[in-house]
Amino acid sequence: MAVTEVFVTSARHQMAVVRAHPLFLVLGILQPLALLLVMFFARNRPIGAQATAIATAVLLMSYWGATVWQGAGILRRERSNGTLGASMRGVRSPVLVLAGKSLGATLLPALLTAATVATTLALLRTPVTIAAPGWYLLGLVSAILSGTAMGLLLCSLFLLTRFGPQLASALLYPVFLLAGLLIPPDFLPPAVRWLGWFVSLRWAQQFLVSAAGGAPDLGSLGLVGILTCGYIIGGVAAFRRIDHLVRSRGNLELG
Amino acid sequence: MSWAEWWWRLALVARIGEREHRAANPWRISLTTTWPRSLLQCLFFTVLGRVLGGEPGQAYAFIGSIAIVIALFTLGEMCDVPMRDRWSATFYRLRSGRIPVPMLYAVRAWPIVAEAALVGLCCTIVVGLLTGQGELTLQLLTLFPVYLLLVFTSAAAGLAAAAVGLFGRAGADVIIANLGLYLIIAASGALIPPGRLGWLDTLGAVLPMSHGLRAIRGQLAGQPWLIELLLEVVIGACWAAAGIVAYSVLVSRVRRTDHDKVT
Repeated sequence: MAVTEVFVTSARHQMAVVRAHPLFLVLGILQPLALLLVMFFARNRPIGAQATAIATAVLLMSYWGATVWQGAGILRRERSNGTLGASMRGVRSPVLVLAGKSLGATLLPALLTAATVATTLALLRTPVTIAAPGWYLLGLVSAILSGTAMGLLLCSLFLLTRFGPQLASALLYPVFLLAGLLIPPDFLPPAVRWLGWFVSLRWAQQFLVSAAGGAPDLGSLGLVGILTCGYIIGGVAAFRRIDHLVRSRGNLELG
Repeated sequence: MSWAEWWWRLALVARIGEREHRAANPWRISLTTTWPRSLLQCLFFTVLGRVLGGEPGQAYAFIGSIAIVIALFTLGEMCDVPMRDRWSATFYRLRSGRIPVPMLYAVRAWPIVAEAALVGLCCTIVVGLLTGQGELTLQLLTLFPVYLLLVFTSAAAGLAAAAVGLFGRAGADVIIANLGLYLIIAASGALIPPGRLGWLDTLGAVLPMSHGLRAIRGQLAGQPWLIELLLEVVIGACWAAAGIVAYSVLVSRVRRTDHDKVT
């Protein structure tokens, strides 16, 4: 079985798992809808470039929610279903399988979020302008890949605790605050602003907004790529650590 | 049962509720994940209010954000109370017990109610000071009894809605809990002032917290507030009645058919 086939099969399998639980409806419909209503009706109605920036930020925020709630829990779910052992001891590379599952876990909520944002904007009769759609699409794909890499990292860490849901909820708002998605970094104290540099969503947002404006900021796209590579390295190292605890030390149960 | 026996039994239920809650949320986990999440969420919405509307926007959002944080517990976590019986297949023992199921769940939920009030208080103080709203923080602390009322009215709604999770399809509890939370965010007037979207206002009128928040804002602005406060009490009582009816109907159905999904 080719590498691509293993990856795609794992992603499709995880998409089926995601579809079976209504949490993806929360992540893909309720969360972006509520955020859009707040952003459009709490004060003055945003228009033009501002509306595009808000729609992009809501897309990325919901995607981060999907990464934390769906991607990060993959291995814990496998352990509770009793399939973790088979995944880790299979013929195919477990990292490859996990990467495919991580993508599959977040793809469906991401697509649903995009549909929700588009429908809401249409209902609100708020047009958004994307001057460089090709670059914008590339930015979205890079954000999805970055989230996949982050999911790879988080799901190994979440295997070490039985309090995954609480940990997941604690990871949401630091990123919402630091990534400068709806809140510009200038509104944060200078002492904590630098923490946002390590959040790829911040650079993804900058790139997407610049692409929507017609002048893609390729430096930001490059930073998304560098941080994604960092997440992948961290994710593989974390997974190897889990593997070591299971196979060599024997102090982590598979199910 | 005599009154003494009632109290003894309810005290036992309360003790079990506390143990259950602490087993799922030990103090070290609550203090390192759940509470910081609540503080950061309150901070996020408060700063977002500043981004959208300057200092008046920040003050408006701060008042609502405290209610949203309370709802995290009273609506977001409340489903877990009855759902634990579904996960553990122990509901059949409750429905054959002597304490009515609605009363049992209400008593068992007390740790969530207490934590909601405590975290709401912490958020008022910490976020208020972090965002430089000392004067408003002091005013809100004097009005905190109204927030305590919101804790109870939203807890009543959370427990009533949890009945759907208990007997619904797998995962219905997740939808119910999150639907409640996002409705409070979008439709209770916590962040979006009334009058912006008609259907949101209509929806908000039957939600817990919306009238209570209006009462708090009215008191701060020196406007009439008592009617809104009474409306909040009425809405809370209606949700409590809905919960009692929902659980009683479900229990009676299960007793009649001896067939339920939760056993």
